[in-house]
Amino acid sequence: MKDRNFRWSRRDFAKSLIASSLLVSSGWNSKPEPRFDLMKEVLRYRKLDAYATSVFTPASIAQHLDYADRFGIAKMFVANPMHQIRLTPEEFRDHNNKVLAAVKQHPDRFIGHFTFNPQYPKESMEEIDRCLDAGMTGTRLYQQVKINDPLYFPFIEKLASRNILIFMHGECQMGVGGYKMKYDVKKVPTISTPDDFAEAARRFPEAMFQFAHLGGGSDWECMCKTFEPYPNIFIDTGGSNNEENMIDFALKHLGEDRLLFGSDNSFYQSIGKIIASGLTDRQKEKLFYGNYQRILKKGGFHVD
Amino acid sequence: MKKINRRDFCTAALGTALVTQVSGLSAGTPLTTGKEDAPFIIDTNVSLGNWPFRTLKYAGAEKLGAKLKKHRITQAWAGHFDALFHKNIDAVNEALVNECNRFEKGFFQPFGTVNLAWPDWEETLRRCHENYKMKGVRIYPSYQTFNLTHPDFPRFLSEVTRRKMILQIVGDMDDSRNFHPIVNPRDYSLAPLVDMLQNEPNARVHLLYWNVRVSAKLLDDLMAKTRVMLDTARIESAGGVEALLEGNQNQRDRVFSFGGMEQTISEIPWSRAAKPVPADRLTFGSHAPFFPVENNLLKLFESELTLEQTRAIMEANARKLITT
Amino acid sequence: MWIDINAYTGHWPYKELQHNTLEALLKRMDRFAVDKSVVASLNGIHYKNTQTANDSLLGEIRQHRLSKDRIIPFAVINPSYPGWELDLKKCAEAGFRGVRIYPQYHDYLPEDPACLELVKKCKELGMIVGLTIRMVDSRQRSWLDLPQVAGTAMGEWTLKNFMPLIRAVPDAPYFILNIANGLVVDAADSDLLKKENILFDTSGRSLSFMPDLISQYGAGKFAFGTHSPILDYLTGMLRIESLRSGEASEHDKERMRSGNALRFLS
Repeated sequence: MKDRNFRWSRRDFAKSLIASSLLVSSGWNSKPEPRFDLMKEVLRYRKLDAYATSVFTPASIAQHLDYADRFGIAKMFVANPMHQIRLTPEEFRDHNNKVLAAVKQHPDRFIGHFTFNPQYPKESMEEIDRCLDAGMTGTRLYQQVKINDPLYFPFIEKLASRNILIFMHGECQMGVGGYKMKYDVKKVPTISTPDDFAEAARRFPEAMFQFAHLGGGSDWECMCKTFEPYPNIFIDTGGSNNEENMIDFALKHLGEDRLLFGSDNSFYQSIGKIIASGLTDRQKEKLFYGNYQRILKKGGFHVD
Repeated sequence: MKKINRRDFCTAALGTALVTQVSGLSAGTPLTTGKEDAPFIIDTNVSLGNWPFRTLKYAGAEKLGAKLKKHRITQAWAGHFDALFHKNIDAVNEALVNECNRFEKGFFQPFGTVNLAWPDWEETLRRCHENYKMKGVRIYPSYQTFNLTHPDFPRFLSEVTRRKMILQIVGDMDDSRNFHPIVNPRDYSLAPLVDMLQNEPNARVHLLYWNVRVSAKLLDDLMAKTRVMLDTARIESAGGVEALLEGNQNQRDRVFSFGGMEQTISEIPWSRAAKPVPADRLTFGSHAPFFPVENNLLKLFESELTLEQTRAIMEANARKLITT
Repeated sequence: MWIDINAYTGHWPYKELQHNTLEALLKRMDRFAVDKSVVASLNGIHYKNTQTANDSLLGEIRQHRLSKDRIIPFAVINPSYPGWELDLKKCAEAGFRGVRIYPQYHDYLPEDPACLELVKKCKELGMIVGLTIRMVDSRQRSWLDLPQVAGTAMGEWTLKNFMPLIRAVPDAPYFILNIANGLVVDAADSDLLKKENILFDTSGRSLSFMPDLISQYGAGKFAFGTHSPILDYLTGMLRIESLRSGEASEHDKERMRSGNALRFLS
């Protein structure tokens, strides 16, 4: 004989269904006041997306703007996604030109990040000047050279002198980083790991570094614990991963001033996990907007 | 040397109900003194937390503590199951301390862990010693991501020794035939200890559940060339403790019964020791709550041990290890 | 009304979880106005004999006075282990409304005869079958967790890995949970997935733009799910609540909040 404790009787089911329908049909276009209004909570916070990427097709741009409107993102700091390319001067200029074109189309929504490759020092130095003159505000560096490679030193000095946040993609997962090289996931050996960032931060205490995407699929506990002693390493919370406690853990180890909001084009996860976290309203405000604005202000790049 | 009166001790340690079920124990001569003369026990090998592959009957400090106390165990050295699997080790150590504190003060001695594969292992060790006041640490090379060949291991051993902490090294947690199909512990060797400990004569190294990983030769080397201690958790077969203390050379013929047929074997089949293991190198370890506590208590009574040997294994050796 | 069709309590061996007890789950439900949750025991995923985990969950629910009306238990069943038929029968009699299966953790394939048998029995008993595409992202998994790792020859499982089972028992009621690694299946299977007896929860990262998915599958295909306490509690909810009126009517949103789940759970 079935225990009826967890199965709805027809009566209970009908009641629930009717209640559910009544919520909708009480007025054809109205809905009752929800007990927890998630969208109201989301839209309470102004947002700066410190890590938006786009391939800059019309469809991609349109979708970015749609997300920005939907979730109250005031500005998106955009660049091209990482590609497994050599990133020659021609390639990095082309990347940056695409960004500039998109920014020109939507100057009130997009702000550009530029890329370069220190293996081409002269061209890279020139490109930095060109991009800054064109209104870009920071870097979007990838995996061609590690952040703590001496090739980067003159660039770090230059960017630090201008109080520009040095944003680079990094990874920290199985098969990368060396701490448990069990699986070869075919990542290039020049990709930067948290330890590489730590070394760069020690060498250049006056520079500001941003490690990409806490939720990018890497071991976020390892990232936070590695960066804990370095106040000049910031991290954006973007990425498709939204494990519970990720944001609270980052707060515990990095404090409330070093976390930046980023989407990495995973908007539901990037926002949901912050709203679900145990951060106070003020801490969420700083994460979504205040911290990045403060950093941008140092270089004169603050919005509004 | 006086043989312990097993009946009285069993009654004290195991409870009357169990004693009546234990067969083959010598009745002995009743002690003129009371049960309170029976030794107390330090259990050097218990674990707290959740074992992921099975619900354990005495999981957690409250249940396990009550069970151990019932069997005259006055102190238990506890690791945490999460140490085998977690990356965030400091959180595990903190959880271990909190769990220990859920029972009577001082009963559970926390033995935290360190994972040399993590870049902050030195800080973890420092916290174990200075923040959590731990007497030692416990490592699990078959589960954690390093073993004794890790380049940092000599430095780790040196640092543990400098801090006057005990280093417990766990051979295994479970019989390999029981392993979960997707969770595969790794093989590793304890042999590097012999040379490493020549450089650290003051190191206090203690092997738990060690038997599967220690050959006869390695056991002889560890006993002769180092001060490594061993626990009793995985000593198997009838009279196993006694056989370890006597070594192969003194093995009597023993008659075993297999499927109704008797077979005489001239040495204990499992025995690893060519040479006797001194009684002052053994500590009582139950591997509870994974193994029933009674298992390891009974091992002491099926072996012909003197009172001094029994006290040494039950308590004195561990007390010396933790207080030296 | 909100019904979460994908929640857990219990322990995960490789990481300390937050909010992983029944009490903590109920508090979250209160905080975020979720009325009911379908819950399975995380412990059962790493047990070979899963029934002790199911018994513990049931015992916990019965002890906790507030949970009986709000927690709907699903059993973890391992069809590769002896006695599973009796376990399933006991769970059905005790009122479990469905099962969740974990072929990767219990080391069998969805198309193995025992698994097919389990799903057929579930169908006969009117029990829902929960198929979880993945528990945690392999890129940050423990070294002792599953060997299927993204970027290696043995990559993570996708929805495709479960299609042989769904093809073999096409009219069982299914919840497909935490859809990661894409919704792409063979052409012949995509019609199968659109049938009314299959529901997707909203926790998975492959649900990257809901308006497009609703156009493709219809609002009747989705139900609120959190995959808590592994994933955060609100992303699954945000996928529904962020839909504009032109993308989903209030009626459709209410179906995704609870109506679609109610269809299966009654």
